[in-house]
Amino acid sequence: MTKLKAVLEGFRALIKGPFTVRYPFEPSPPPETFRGAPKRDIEKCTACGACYQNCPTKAISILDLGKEVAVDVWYGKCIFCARCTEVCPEEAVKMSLTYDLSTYNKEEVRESVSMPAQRCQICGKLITSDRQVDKVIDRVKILPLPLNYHMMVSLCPECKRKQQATLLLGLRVERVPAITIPVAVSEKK
Amino acid sequence: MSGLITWARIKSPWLFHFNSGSCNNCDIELLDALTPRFDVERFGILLEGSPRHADVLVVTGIVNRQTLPRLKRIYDQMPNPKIVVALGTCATSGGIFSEGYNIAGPVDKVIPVDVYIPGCPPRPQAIIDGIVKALAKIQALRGGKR
Ligand code: SF4
Ligand code: SF4
Ligand code: SF4
Repeated sequence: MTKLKAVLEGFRALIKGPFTVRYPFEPSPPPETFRGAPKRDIEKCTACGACYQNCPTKAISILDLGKEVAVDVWYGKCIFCARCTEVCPEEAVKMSLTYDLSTYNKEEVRESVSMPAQRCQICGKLITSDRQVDKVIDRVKILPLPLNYHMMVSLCPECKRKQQATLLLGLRVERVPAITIPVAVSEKK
Repeated sequence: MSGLITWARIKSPWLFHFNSGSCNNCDIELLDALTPRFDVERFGILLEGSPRHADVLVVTGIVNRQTLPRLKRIYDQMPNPKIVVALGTCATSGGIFSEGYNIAGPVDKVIPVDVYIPGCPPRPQAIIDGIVKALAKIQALRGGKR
């Protein structure tokens, strides 16, 4: 019975051509639902860091490049689980169909998107990207905002807390200069 | 003579597959690449049972403390020039297991690796791609130096 099956297979191969994928000589595209290398849309990504926090292997990193902030994914560590596409609030990252990632140098299989960074006006620490700040302002605009909200969103959480305490309670904390915007602007340059 | 040896090596590289603590998915994909569907034997590639006869060492999985001395021993037993292929994300960087308590790897921390094939697991096509890259490297290593 099995022999008959083998003979039938042979005849089928004669008619339909060989079963083997002629891969390196012909392209062999993966199915539509294939989870290949995750790719970011540079227009949509805001460097919010949700993917960075949720990546199970820590393949994604947020890099501080001074004036810019970069979201970097290293395919050498990515397990193609698509967790980043699930958590991305901007739907900026999608699993592509790229699979031929083999390489001589494992450090070079990475993808990086960068955008202007937003730094704390007081201590200069990286907060997030400009784009994310604009998004946040857009979303909270419907609320009655304090006059200094622009300044408040451009402070790191720690400096913001100190600033709030200074403004609301009238406390004068020694380490924090009261209103430091002119100094901070010069510091930024 | 060395030209002839290189020619033979490229025409029919023998693979030795070592599982250094992988989850077995990469091993299955490597065997997939040997099935008639993908058929790496088209390139003369043969899975070999002994490292002493092999040209290419394919390592899957993160190297853990149990497999570390064995991997080193196998690497030492291979004849020169040796080509090492790290198959899968685990072998490349540790991947999902990189923060495990018993990890001694990834592979390139222990032995020199020539070609990395990231993927968890990589498609058989990606494995073929990587092995073709390894063959190109064998050609570059002509003369048996390493
Ligand atoms: S979660 Fe989306 S928007 Fe946020 S950093 Fe990642 S890719 Fe960019
Ligand atoms: S697919 Fe998974 S492992 Fe890869 S970058 Fe996204 S979250 Fe990380
Ligand atoms: S790379 Fe992924 S599939 Fe391969 S051994 Fe590691 S966990 Fe398993």
